[in-house]
Amino acid sequence: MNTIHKIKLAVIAALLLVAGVSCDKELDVAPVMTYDGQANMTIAELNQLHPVGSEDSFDSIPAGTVISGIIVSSDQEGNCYKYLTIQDETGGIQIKIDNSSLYPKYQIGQRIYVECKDLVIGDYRKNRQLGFWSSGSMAGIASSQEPLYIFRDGLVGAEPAPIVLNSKNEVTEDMLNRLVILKECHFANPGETYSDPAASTSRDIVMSDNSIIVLRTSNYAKFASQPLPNGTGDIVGILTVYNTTLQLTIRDLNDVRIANTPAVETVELYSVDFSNDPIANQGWSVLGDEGWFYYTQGAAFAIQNQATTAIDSWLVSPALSNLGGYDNVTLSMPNEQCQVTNGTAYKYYSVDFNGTDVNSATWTEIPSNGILPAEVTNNPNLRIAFRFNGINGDFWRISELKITGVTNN
Amino acid sequence: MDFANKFVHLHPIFINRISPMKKSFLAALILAFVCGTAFSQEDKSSKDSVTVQGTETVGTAFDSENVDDEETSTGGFVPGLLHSAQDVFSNNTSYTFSIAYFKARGIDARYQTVAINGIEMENLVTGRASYSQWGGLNRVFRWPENVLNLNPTTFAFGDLAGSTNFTTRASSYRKQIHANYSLTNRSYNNRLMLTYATGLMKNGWAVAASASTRFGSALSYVDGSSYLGGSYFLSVEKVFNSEHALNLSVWGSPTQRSLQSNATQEVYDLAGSHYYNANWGWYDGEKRNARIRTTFEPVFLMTYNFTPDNNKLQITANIGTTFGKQSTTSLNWANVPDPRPDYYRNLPSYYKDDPLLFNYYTEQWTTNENFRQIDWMSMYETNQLAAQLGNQAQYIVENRVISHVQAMANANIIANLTDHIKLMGGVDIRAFKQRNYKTINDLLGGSYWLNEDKYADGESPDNPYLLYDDLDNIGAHLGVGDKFGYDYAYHINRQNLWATAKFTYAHIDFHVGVNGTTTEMWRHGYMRNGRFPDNSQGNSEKKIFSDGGVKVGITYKINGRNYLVLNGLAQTMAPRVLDVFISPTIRNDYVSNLKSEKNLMADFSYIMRYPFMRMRLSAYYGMFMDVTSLFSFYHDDYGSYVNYAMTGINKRNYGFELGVEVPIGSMFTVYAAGTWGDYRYTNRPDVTITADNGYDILGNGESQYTETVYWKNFHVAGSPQVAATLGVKFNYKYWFVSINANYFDKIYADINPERRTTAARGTLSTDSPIYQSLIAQERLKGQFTMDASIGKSWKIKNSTLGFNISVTNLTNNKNLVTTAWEQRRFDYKNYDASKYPNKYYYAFGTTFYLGINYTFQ
Repeated sequence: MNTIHKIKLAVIAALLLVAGVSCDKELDVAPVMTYDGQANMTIAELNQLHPVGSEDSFDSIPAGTVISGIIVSSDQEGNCYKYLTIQDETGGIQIKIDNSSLYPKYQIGQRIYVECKDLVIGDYRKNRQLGFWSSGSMAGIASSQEPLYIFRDGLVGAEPAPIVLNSKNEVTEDMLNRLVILKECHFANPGETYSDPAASTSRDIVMSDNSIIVLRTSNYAKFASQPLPNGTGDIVGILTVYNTTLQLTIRDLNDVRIANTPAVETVELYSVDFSNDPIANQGWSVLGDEGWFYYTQGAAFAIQNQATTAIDSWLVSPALSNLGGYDNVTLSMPNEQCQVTNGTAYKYYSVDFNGTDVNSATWTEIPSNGILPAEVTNNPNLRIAFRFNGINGDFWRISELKITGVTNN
Repeated sequence: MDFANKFVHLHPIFINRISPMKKSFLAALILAFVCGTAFSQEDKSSKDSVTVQGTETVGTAFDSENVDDEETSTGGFVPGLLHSAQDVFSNNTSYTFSIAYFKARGIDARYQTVAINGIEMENLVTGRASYSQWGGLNRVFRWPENVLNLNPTTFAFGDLAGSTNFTTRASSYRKQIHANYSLTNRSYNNRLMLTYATGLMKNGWAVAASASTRFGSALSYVDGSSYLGGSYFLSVEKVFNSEHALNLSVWGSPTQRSLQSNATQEVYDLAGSHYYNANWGWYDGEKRNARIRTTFEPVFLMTYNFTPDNNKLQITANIGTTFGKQSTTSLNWANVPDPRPDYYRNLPSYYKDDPLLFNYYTEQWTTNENFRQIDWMSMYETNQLAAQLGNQAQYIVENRVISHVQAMANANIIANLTDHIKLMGGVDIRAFKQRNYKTINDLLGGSYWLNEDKYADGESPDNPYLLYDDLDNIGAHLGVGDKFGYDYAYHINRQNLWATAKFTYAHIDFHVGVNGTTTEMWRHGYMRNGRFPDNSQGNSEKKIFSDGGVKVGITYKINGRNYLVLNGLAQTMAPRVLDVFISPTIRNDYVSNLKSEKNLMADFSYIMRYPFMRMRLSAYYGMFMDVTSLFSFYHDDYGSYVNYAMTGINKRNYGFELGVEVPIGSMFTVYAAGTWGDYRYTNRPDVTITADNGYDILGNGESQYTETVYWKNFHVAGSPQVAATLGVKFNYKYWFVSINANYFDKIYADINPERRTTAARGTLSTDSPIYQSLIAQERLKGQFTMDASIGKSWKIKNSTLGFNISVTNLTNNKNLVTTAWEQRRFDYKNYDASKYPNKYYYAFGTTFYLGINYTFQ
């Protein structure tokens, strides 16, 4: 029985041992695609096969030609459409492919080889392209035929370093269809969208020497309706040509490296509608002596004292609670007529007025530039007041009044 | 030692064909066998370790008679070995685990030998026995002799998944009149079965007959399903004397039933049911199903038994034939979009970038039944319009016909040479022909159909004949019943010779068996196809495969309570004819590098039999090498239907099985059984891809493209790799009650080899999420189920009345995935694995089976 017991234990132990060894196998991984061959022509040499003329045209490519380059275009954001742009150290070329979703296979930084076979090199408005010549213009490789011409090689690598451009005048022909970076440039009209909704759109990029390179953006780009940023910075993109115009195509908004400093915007925060009695209807009140009134014909606040004894009449605004969060909150009263030469006129603000007793509140004079201090504009009980101590024909008339502020970013 | 040499002489071919590694494995098995002989001693206590002969017990709920016997609609799944009453693992799991499509040890049914009266019933094309040939005849196809796993077999060499032999000799049935009615909510709802047997009469004759019908589907889980089946069985035997007997058995089971579709999770979610069926649509006030399968494959079998009075010999010989048809209807269409409601372009996910359309499709799918089912009326309208214009019908229902005829003969011998040595052997010769073609079943209001292939490239200026499936009838207007598309036959001739010697001694039993098979196969085309006009018609080249096998095993009987059993089987097996032709529907060309498949399997068991506890603990290890597989799918990168021929697939299955039974008192038995397995691909097979459109889409000047599939260590799907059950049985005075809880896990989706190739990976980095989504193999969540049953029988004079009710999946778990697979189609354009997502079948929720039996003896 003891022997049997040992056998039992041994069997169970052996089984458990095998079970323990068994788990977690590493799953197989297919090798990446590679191209089994070499390029025998540079892209610059390929481009030289086709001198561009006044009309779009094409030239054939010698049999057995293989070129190689790194992809710099991407249709992921919809701005590049049905083409791949590749470049090597000598130049760049656009390959036309009749496939609208290339980016999953052909990512930026991917090296590809192109067996040119029956492809031709031609141009569209002087921008060189690889594809087929069909009815007077360049046509793309059919989607199903891609594997016959285009061969991916190895893992996706880094994007090639862009060529640095400070001026349009630095551009040479070998830079076309390559990645460039425009240094220290800005958009001529920031705030406009990248593209109009109806059609591809050109926007001017102003280089640091004021030369212009055009940003060309498809209306199908996912960022087409975004505004162009304000400010100066760098823009990366693929440089192309349209007849004589140099154009830049960005792949996505990460290519635009401009820290946006939007123009400060002046916002009207408060105004008096003088067509509608502000004293009766808009919260303004007359305190102290009688005097201030709504001058219907003139559509204005008005006060006048012909007498030889001075009066003390206050026109106090409603609480101005919406001025917070803005810079340079400014009171302006253009076309104000203040003929107070014998007496005195004051423009005040206060944050502790209780609504009835002007004398118990603390009033501070508004500086001559009309700017209300930041520490009071955030106070919801801020009021302004116009105090008239006029005599002997002094008068004051206010027909426009507004308070503006500037957005603080 | 002597015997080992003899074995080598018998099968030099086999030995030479296998690699050194496999040779060393064999050598180890032989060594084990030789050592076994050295230890042998004289003792009378012998035991047939796991071989089991069915014995009648009353009131067993999980009796083959009381089991829904239908093949599931996925095809291919055949229930495991029933009735291994003595085996504590198999006995408690074979029915219980079938809800999860469990395959013991992950081995497919094609590796199981199924015989009737000792002659194999395997369909030589599929490699599997078709249980539907005797569907509904449960009373007479009852209690087969089951040999589990690698144990020695008396009626055949055996196979990796064991062997089963049914006996239909009329004299083997007790005299009886038996009636059975069953009500269930599975494939069919009602079954009525009547059986009559005379037993062996004084005049030496015996007659047994059975008839049954299965019908109704209103209670079924699947919408739009239907079922109608009838079955007959007649067996007549003349026992001439104590030595000679001749028996004729004929049976058949004509059945017509509808099929259930499979779907993606999106579709199941939209339809709100895991049993959504895309195959039906309203027509004329009825749910009309486009997929109807009609099967009738009758069998005629003449059996001669010779048992000399000296009790030393037993000879069984059969001559028989099977023939018949299986036809399956399906929609077909031309120049119009795919009409199937769950086609991927009809689903919201196809419009995921367009919220308007996405919402529209979602709304229609969830609220409009007509939208998510087949729109028969619009197909009729389209066809009627086309007919008025004199044009081809745009939609039809086609009938895919598989008809076969087989002639077979065998003879088996069992010789008791001495008290210790038993010799068994046999010869089997058969010829099998299966013809495959399509006919038009319904023109759906159209006027005619053209025999053109919609996937062929019609624009090829070089070859205007590419389009035509039947070059000799170009432009013929085809009507209902006409053949179209393809028409070809597989021919297979097979001869088999086997022998097994079994030795029984005091503490050691052992056996050794050998097997030799030659298989000849070829294709015959009846249609000249426009894409392959020169090699689509007539006979292909004939291929002959010579295969062999050896089976050894040793049992060490420590005492009457404890046994150690080591069994092994090594064999080669001709590839299935289904896998050897590149494009069997239209071409006579073979896949290159065809080889016989090699199997090596061994298991080791510890068996304990005490009155207080019975147990079996086993470990098994099996290798499948040089497996061949062929399938077809639409290849997005090539824009063509392609044939995907894989050769040299290696797989490895190993695992453990444990079964324990503990009686508690005289009425209760508590049992537990479980298995943990690990089934994986172990190499990188080659695949040859050929485009079916006849156009040189690959552009390399060759008609085929070869690549490597990188799927080493991925899981082989097809069965839960973990399954366990815990239950209790109660048995008292013909009352039988049982309840059990089950758990299934390590259920994997079948992977698409194409997604594990360099072509599919492209240049993606292994850490990229896209890459991960392409190669990750889905593992389904493990699931619990519960079953219960109750049965009782009463003996009233000469008759027995009994009933039983069994309820499967008591907790109504509707989330058990039985089959999952990655679609073969793959989005090469966007590398979006979710475009053609995985498809699933789910196990039914709660199902019941109620049976009432009456037997008069």
